[in-house]
Amino acid sequence: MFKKLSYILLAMAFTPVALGWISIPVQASVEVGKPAPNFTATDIHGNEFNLEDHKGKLVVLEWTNHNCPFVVKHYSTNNMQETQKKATDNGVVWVSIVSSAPGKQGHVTPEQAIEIEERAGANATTRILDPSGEIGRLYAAKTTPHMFVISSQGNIEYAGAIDDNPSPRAASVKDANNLVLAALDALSTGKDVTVSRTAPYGCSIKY
Amino acid sequence: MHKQYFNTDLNYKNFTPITPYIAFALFTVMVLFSSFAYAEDSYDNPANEQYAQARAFPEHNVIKANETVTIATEITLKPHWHVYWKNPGDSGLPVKIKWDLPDGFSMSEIEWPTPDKITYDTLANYGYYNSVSLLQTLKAPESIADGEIVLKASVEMLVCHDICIPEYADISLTLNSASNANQDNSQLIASLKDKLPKNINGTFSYTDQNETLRLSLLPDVTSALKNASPENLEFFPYDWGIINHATNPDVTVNNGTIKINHARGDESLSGKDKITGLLVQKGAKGENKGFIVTVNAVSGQALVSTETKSAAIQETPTSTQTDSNASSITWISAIYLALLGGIVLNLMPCVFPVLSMKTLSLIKMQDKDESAARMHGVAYTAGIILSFLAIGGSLIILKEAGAAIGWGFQLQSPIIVAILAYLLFAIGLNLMGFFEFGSSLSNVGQSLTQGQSLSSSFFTGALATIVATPCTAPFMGAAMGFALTQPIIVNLSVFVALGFGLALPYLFFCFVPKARGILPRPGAWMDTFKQFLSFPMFASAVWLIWVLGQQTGLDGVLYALLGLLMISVSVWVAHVGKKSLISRIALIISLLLIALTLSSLKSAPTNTKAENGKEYAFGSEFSQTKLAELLEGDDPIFVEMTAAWCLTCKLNHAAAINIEQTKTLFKQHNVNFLVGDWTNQDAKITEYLSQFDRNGVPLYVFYGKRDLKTNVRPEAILLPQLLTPAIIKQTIVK
Repeated sequence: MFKKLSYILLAMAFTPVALGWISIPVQASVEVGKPAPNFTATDIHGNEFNLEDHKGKLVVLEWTNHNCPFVVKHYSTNNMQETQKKATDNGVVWVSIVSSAPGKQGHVTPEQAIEIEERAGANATTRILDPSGEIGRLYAAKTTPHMFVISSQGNIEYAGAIDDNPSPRAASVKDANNLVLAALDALSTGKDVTVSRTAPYGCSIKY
Repeated sequence: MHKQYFNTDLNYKNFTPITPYIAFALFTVMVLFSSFAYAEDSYDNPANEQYAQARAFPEHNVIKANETVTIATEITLKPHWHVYWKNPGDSGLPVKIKWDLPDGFSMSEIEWPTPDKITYDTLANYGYYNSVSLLQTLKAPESIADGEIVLKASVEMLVCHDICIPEYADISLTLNSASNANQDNSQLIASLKDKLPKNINGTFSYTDQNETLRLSLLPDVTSALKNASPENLEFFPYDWGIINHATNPDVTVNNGTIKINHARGDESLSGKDKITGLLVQKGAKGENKGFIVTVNAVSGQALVSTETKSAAIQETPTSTQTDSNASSITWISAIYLALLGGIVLNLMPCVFPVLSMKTLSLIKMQDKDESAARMHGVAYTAGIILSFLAIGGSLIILKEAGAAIGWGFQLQSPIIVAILAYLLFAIGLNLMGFFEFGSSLSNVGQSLTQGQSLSSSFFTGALATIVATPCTAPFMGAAMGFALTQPIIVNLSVFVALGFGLALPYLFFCFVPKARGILPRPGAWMDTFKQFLSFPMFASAVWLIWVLGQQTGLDGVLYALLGLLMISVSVWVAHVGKKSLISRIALIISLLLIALTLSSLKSAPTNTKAENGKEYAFGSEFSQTKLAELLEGDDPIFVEMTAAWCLTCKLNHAAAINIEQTKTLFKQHNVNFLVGDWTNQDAKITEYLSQFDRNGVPLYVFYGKRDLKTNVRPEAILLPQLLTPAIIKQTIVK
């Protein structure tokens, strides 16, 4: 009885809580061949980015963390920058996303992110900071790097690793097949993506 | 021919570690990274600190032609750091050992010990802490030259804690050397081998349905698994993407058959006729015991044919229940519950002030004679009970007339909600002292309740009942639900008990003069206290306006707030205008305007369910078809019936359902979550409630997952009306 009573008293005390109900975004299912869940974010330069605005173009999402050795592998060898350049030169929208939480590895301020981009000579279209991990969880992004290729119809057509050589060694980049470029090539020529899903490799995202 | 946009062969002309350009680039990267130095970023100088050490040692140091020797590669880790199993899970990389062997020698694949499952946020990995020995078998060729045999290997390890660091170790060992020929590690190797996962035989099959991998494992010999229980079993697949690593499996053990349902991973299983992995009996860190199982796909992807499935559904009528709340309720316990509920109602924010006012009048009565006090008590009680009978009676009549309504129906009408809000607001103003009694038009309820006549006591009772109605609905669900399914006499007796409970505390003071002695003496504090009591009234009004907002949207809120405005105008006009003709006209106009706001509410658009449903973002909207559809499947279902005006529902939702723990639980057990909103009248929901002998919300029903062996669902479980996360967990995990 006392328990019930205390619950009722609690109920009265928490009426304001009930009023200010917080709704949690629904976890969308991310699947190859299914529509890519939309998100809106402010990029490191303060511009609004809305994924849906880019329908009609190929979009690449790249999860990154500049301190992760696997990301370092792809940037120190210029592999990522060259991949970005090839993509963006052909009209692809390339979005780098940092989902590191504050205090965790890879978390940066927009100013730091701009500096990192410039020093690395990155060729991404835009870079988004996602410290809450909301976008990362929306896409069930697991590693850095973790790549998603979205078709001009807005469907996810590739998800997984950037290439087929999951090694931390820089030299491994040389003989690897770049799966993101392969997917982009297939999509831009109206072909099916042969390898559309691979296990992403790298550091876990520091949610 | 189309144009080749993307050349997948990158230009690596410049890519050699020795070119000045790359040296510069690497330098830049180094500077860049160190410029954002993080406390945990010790990986920048791996040379200074190694988190993993590797060494190799053989079973024994002599190998002859055609013989085999087991080689162990032992990795020792700093505390908290780990390396990865062959299936690293959501991130990470397995340990790699690249052997450089003399001609003719060959090395087997690594035999991996059973790993630990390492979870982090929404990710899970499989790996090893502290130290791990990876065994391989070296096979010598048909002929071996004399002399030392040197084996070299480079070990590639991704070592992780909060961050990940790739580490490399070059190891070597020498066999057939004269100096260490007597060294013998065979005991150590034997004990390591003993700990490796064992092969077990049995009947192992899986299906891949509804994003769930269902394993059915019947080992031939169960002695090895003698301590197996659903809590400590898990399946670690050898390959990535078979299961969603981060979720926990749903395990049952029945007559030796182990069923493991696990959310599927991203890799397609089509074309795979078997999957291999470890059946793991979990222990402390590093103490997991693994059994290697090769699980065959069941052809047709289904253990259960559709015909038997639908038959099973018919055997499981949705109206069955095992709840103690409603099914086992008796007349006596319903009356008891109603009585208790009535007493508790006295503490509700809507009732408490009215009761307090009544108690104040009792204080004034302290000097009067006993019989007068008793008469007041009886009159008050009669007022309450008759009001309850009136409400209960009209409910019965409406139901008999075919209206699909239940307890709480009065709050499904926006107009009644608004009237209650106005009434509470007016009483609040009165308590605050904004208007006094005696003004002829504003005394509708007040002068009746303030006077010292017996009729005033009667009307206070009626007023207490009216203001109590918003609070009764959420609290009295079980008793009310029972009452409304019973013959009229039983039904009304429950209402009488509820009213009697509400009246009881006051009655007590009226009939026990000694009890009145504990009441404080009259004094100036009474006025302050009276003013204070206006706040619970205003709070209740605020809540009702919010309910109205759920029912009618923003327009309805506007009309209701305008109504409150006009009430304050009326009060002011009556106050300043005394009894002049102008003030009377003004007062009539304001009252007409108040009535107008009420009639506008009628035309305010009824809020759509979709909008209402927003706050239940993680469930889907309830409908009978949707439920029937889900019942056809195998996964568990949780139904929540709620209403905006139901405080208990809101509290349950906030404290037990809409929390991370429960959401995770739902996810882990593939629970489909349906929410029905009864804020507005909804015959479908009323009907569903009646299946459970209920006539009000909240209602929580759990349909357990289908038992694939017997192909039936367990009976639906009715949860208590006051939920805790633990209750939900018990119900679902059971």
